Amino acid sequence: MPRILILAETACDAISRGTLELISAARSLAPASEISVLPLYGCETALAAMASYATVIRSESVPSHYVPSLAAASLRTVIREVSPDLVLMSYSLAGVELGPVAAAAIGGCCISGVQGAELADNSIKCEVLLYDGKLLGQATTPLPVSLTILSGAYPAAEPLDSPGDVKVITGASQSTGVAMNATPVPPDPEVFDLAASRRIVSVGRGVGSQAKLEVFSELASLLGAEIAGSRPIIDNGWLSKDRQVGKSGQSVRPDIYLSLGISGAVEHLEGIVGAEYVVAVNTDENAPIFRRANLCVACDMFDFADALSDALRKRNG
Amino acid sequence: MKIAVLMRLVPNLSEGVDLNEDGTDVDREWTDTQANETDEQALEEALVVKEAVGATVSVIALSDEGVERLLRSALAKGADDAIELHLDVEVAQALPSAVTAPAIAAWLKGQQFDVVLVGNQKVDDPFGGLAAHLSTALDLPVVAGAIQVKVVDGSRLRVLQEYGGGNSAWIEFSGAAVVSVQAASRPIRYVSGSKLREAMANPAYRTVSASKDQLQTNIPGLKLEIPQPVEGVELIADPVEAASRLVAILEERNYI
Amino acid sequence: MLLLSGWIATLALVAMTLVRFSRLYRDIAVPGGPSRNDRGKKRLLGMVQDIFLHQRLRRFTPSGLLHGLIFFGFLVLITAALQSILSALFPAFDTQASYVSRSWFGALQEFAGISVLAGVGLAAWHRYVMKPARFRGSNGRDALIVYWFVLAIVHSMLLEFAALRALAGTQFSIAHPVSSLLALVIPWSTPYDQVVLEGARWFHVFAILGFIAYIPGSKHRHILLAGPNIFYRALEPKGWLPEPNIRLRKNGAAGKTDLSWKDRLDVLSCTECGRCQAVCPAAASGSGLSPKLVIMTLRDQVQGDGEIRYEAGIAESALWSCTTCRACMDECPIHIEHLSKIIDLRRMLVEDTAVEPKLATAFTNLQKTGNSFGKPGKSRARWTKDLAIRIPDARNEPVEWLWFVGDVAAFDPRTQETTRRLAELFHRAGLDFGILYDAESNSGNDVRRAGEEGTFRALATSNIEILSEAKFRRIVTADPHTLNALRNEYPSLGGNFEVHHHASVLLDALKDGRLAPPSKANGMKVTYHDPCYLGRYNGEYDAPRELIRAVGYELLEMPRNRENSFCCGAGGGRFWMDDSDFTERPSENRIREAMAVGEIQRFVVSCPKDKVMYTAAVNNLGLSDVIKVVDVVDLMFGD
Repeated sequence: MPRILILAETACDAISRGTLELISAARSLAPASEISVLPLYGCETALAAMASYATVIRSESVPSHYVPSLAAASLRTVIREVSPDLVLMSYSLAGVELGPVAAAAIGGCCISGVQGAELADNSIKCEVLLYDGKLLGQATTPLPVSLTILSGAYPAAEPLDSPGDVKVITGASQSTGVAMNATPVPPDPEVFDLAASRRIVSVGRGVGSQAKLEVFSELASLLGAEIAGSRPIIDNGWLSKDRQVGKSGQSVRPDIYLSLGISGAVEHLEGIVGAEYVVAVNTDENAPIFRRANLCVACDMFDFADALSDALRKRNG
Repeated sequence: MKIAVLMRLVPNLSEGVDLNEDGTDVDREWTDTQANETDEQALEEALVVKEAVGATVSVIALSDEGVERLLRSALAKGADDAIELHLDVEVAQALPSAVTAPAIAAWLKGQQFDVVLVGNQKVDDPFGGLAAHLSTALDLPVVAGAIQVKVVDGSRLRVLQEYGGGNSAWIEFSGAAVVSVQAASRPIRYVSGSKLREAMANPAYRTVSASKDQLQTNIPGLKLEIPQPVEGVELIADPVEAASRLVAILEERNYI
Repeated sequence: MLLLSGWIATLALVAMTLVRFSRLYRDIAVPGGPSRNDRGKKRLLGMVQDIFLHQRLRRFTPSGLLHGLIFFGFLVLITAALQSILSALFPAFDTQASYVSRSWFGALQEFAGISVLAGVGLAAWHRYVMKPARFRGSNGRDALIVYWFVLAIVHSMLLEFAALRALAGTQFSIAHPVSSLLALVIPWSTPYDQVVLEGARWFHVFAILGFIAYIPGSKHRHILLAGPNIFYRALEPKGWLPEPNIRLRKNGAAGKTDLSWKDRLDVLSCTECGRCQAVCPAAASGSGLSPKLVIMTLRDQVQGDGEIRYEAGIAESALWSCTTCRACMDECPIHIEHLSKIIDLRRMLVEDTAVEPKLATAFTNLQKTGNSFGKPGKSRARWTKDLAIRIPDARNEPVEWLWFVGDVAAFDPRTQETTRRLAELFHRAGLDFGILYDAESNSGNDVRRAGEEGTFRALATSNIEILSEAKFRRIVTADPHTLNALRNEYPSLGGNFEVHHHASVLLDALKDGRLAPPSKANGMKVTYHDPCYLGRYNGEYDAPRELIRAVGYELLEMPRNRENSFCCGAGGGRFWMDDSDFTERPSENRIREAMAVGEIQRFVVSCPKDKVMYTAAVNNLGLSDVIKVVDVVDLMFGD
């Protein structure tokens, strides 16, 4: 039975959603496998919660925030202890950093951007997304292997009936790597909480300029929605950072998510995993976002905005 | 302070995707290439550091069609020298970072760079990012997702690392490292045609041989396919029709 | 005593004048710059015609009239000035002066004086009552001072004449109305009469000398500089841009543009009349650009510390608003060259990387793929894919006509259909033609005018090389910008080609009977827009018009037609820039002009950028059910 090691992350006081998805992934890949969870960082409350889902292997002192060298060092230490066949991590910053580190430590290769996998005897077949979602790839490789898994690929796991063990690694076998100071930058308290919005109108690169955003802000008010944007909009300074949807922005879970001129790169789709109903507007019929959307509109975003604004205004009388 | 920036070319699929005969890769013969976006951000951030503390910036790329232009543009933007690493393989840009990292690292080892900057991701690379692979091959720490790089006290690095949900942290440490850049701290500068032409004659350009033996061999092949549209999803092309459909759905769900 | 102090004052004023004029000369005469001593006879003839026929001044009729009155009046009054100065400084001349002023010549002088007064009166009414918009930003105080000087000079002259009449006891003469009247009305008595004469004469003299001393510091310098400026005008083809004038400073300091002697002469000659501003499409659209203000700012910098800095008074956004349509240069009565200065400043901005993101993207695309759309170079000829005919590849097969398609016609989905139709028309007309497929690059016309000189050279050199290897006799293109570059810019880089516009080629085919007009000849009312680069730049106005009529449509002209055509706003790289800060797009302004002509159903163009811009304008104005934008090509299909 394969031994599976999961790199666990936390968000404030709780286990991160990505980690819970990894646990489901492990359970579905190999139902009878030995699953261990290695917390990379977190506060004690979150760490304590991990045992409800699987066996926990941790160093004595786990930092409250992510420290790259500490995480890499504890990963190497734990891999020496456990000799896992599979190391799973989320497609997060930590996952991007540690995928190859884990691969080198277990003597296997690293596969990143995984949205589905199947274990066979001593090998694994993975499905990955490439080119911002334009292409699917299949790769088969013998174990051991390290996998970086996309959000939303698996459901969040349920806790076990009885909590797992907690093994603490102590003593001389612990190394800490290069000494690093991590100073978290607190998120701006002034920021607007997009994650709490129930309706969102989200604009992509296709808008063209800050002045043309007006059209969509008006549409958003007609819909009672908040305006948001994908990464290029925020990078250009047309909307503030607190309105960015995606991997390095906010994860949102609105009832209605209307995306206009967004192609649907993996990093953006990560931000809308929790959206209830997604409407996507894009002139490119092959845009990856159409595979996520519930309603696909293949026309110019300005034409659609005009038509929708007209329809809403007529309705309101 | 010596900075190395690794730059790569990726296929430009804006006009559509063509796969090669056996479906293992994009058809590179008929597809134009462009500079990998996050690598350009890495170069820009290297230049920011150069302007702040007077570092030297060397740009490195694996020999391939179009690479000379890429490196010379970097020289035109302000890099100090450019190196083509010649690997003696057919299409170097098609090789995953996992395969080329040990060969690149073998050359980097002899050069005494203080920081190696790379772009945070490359769209056609599912076997792990170059930064992390280089860090294991060079036995150096890796800090990914950087959106700002500073040098303090002459040699300590301070990197602003970006997580999700609006969170970030400054990571500070001494010693050499590999840093992968997500975004530079200022927009990418434009370089004029005349500066580009000057750069074409810039002597700070050399080609160096790298050994093929160093290439990693245990990386599996990929079988590619174009994803099929999901069944049962409505696709409407007319804006007015789509708008009324949406209004109907919103009413159905009692959102309006 | 009076004479002595008169002499001293005169010499002092003359000395001051000489100093001021020498400073002016020094400001202008810098080494280097264009050599404009060729074709002297042509230059002289043009100058004389322009000045004496008031060719450009007349286009704004009230101004032309009043200027004529003042100008011709002053030509005559120069004699009166000489007369007065000589007789003031050399009393021996007194009797001769008196005689002349009471003779028929004096009558002429008096008439000239009255016409000058009439002119100034009209000018004042024009300035203070009509308040034309083109004067906004001009120096009103300078104008007022000039009015006062002129009034002083003429009135004192008339009083002087009156005094001479009184002293000589001459009768009233209707030929000398004012001086006779004054002579009658003023109570003369000795020695009062002599005092008045001396007073009026010296006042006249000092008013003249004072005026001349004032002139170097005033826009009135144009009386001396206009002639030379017109003489030294550019005689090269309008569509040829001179080489960059940039001197880049090392050690990190921003590049400074050197103004050549001709640039300096230009800016110092400017009278701030604002005609350039009145015809500028960018000024009309609410951008910050006024060609007049650009020239005035440069002039202030030349006269200030001599350092030319674009940030002091010329906003970058204003510089980028220019569409290079040349309306300003074609309107300026003194033939000032606005464009080369604006483009030199743009070249400086490009070198300093102060370029807006959309434009930077276009430049980068042009550098990498040879087209501004960022599409792979290999997809340039994709528009030919579904054609029924096969277009020969001029790289391999010799053809009569090389069709240089151009970026917009090939890549922009809004005009690709027109391009396909043109291919069909050429085929139907039995034309032996071919294209360069993906060896073609952007002609570089607008790249150069947007300031990217380096990329322009790269594109032009590449095109010239490809063209030199292809076998053809002449070139045809549907894109006037391309036509301009191939015809006017490429020769100085070694590419000499015979270039025709598609309308002329189609017209010839129609006349020969090789092409039949569409059967739906319906007498529909249409209007035609002259593209800047075909009309103003290259003087071709008639072929498209003949084609429109030959096909059976009724052509109604818009008020601003032919050389006065109003630019669509896409030139000079504006097609690649963000225009959201305009209050009214030039293209929308133009469509409104067309609508005002009445009953127009088709807006006919002969440039692919025009088609794109005006179609967008018609849609933005909600007029797509009323008027349709078509190329001359589309007319041949009965559109």
